[in-house]
Amino acid sequence: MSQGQGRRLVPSYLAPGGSSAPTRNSLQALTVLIATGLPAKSHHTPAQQRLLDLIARGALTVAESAGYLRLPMGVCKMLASQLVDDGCLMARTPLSGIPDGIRTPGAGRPPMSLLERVRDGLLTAL
Amino acid sequence: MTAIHEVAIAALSATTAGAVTAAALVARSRRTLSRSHAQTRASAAAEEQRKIEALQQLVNVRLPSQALHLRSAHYPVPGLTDAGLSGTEFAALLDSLQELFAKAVLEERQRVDAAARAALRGACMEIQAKSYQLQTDLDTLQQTCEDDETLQNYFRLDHLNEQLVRLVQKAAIVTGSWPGLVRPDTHLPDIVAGATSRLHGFERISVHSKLRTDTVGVVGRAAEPIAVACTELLANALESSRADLSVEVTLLQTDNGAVCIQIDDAGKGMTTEEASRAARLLAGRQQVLLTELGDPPALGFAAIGQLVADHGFQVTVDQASPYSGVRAIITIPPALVTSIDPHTAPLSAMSPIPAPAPRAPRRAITSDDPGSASSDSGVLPQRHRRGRRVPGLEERAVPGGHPPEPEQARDTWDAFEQGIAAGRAATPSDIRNEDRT
Repeated sequence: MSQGQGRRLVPSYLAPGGSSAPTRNSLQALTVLIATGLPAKSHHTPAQQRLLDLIARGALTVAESAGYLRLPMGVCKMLASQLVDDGCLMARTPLSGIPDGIRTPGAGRPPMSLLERVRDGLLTAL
Repeated sequence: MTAIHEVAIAALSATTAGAVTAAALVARSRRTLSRSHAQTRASAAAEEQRKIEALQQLVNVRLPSQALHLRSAHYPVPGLTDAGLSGTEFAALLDSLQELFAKAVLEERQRVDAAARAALRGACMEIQAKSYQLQTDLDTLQQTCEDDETLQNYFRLDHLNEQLVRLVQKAAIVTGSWPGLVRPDTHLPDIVAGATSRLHGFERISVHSKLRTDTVGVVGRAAEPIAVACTELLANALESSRADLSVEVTLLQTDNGAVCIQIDDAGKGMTTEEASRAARLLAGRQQVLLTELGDPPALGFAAIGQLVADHGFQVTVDQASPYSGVRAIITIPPALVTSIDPHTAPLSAMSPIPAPAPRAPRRAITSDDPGSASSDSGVLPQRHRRGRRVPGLEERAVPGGHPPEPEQARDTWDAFEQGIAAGRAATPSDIRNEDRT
């Protein structure tokens, strides 16, 4: 999987369990996932329960969740879409990062000063 | 003259009589001789006949049954039937011939088996290497795949490839190869999750972790061998139970530092014969021949036996599960258990979530606890027998094994010292001295 860590032991196909193909393809990398408060059910795999635990501590995008769980993004989308189907998660369309035509009106670009502060912060961190 | 004549006649007659007697005697002895000759010939012929029969018995009965006996100890080997020959040089010759035959058969069998093992091992190692390449490629594709349907297809191929790797790896191990991989120190739940992923029907396996911490790992050199052994036991459990029955896996930590993987199935169980054969193979003390493993060879137990002998963990299958199937237990001794920090090396998201630990009984602290009597109540502080220390209290006080934050530790210690100072200041010195005596 990752370099220097040796060969992967736990393959990604364990994450969604043996269930069939997901029902939606609408989730994107920047879709925000929000917990509905419904607990995990017994048929949910450990990976799904971990995702739910993660989101219960605060809303996260699909990409961020994938990063925290160290899963490929596609796998995380699959997990999230099942949880959305089961009513454990809500998915909110991202404000940016989608084609301009369907971008939510009013979602302006961040001000230049904020971007500069972020850049400076990143440079100091390096 | 007459006298001479008579004497001569008498002498002659005597001679004649003697000659006649002698002739009669000679004839008699010749008869005896020929009779004894005939007897000797007859007995020699009989002995020869017995030897031939013993030889025939050796060729027709003893050697074939010896060959069968070498294949399986169930076949008896008859000895020499003719008791008259036993102890003779001839019988010893026959016995040594039989021994020579047995030795030659065994040596030849070992040689052929070694050749077969070498051929299989060579083939397996190459296939294994290619399968690992395929695994890497599929994994890379999954990392970047955005489309759900394509991802599902990759998953299917990946799973097929994992099953293939398992079959090849098992054969390679039985033929004397190593597992083909060295892993870093690995979390135990990850090993079990990885083991389930290699099987068709892994959805039927449910893993329960009863480990007390997130840090239980297996040292690198034993990680892959234990994964292989676990896979084979799980495969047996899945195969021997109906397709609608689940296989329960429990991860346990014992008090002596060992860690157990317990696999319970609700299958049909094993017969006594199967169990003793399994125990013999799992002990891993002897080299097994491929020809002893049946057709097609059942490699699972033999592979585990090989790994057990090489790495020093234990596997038993001699217990019945609570569901009347088989309970298989892998015991990992403390020497192979290690501790892994889950912050620097987190567990895989797919590994089982540990069950909450059972609450240890705790002494209730009540208001009339004599230890809490203050100095201003007029009662001298008294020493009291402390309650039995509850094991695991320290672990609970520091959840997850984190040390307390430095600021928090400082504050706690400050408060403690201030408390002591205040108590000392409030107590007159004579009382303190009295207390000391």
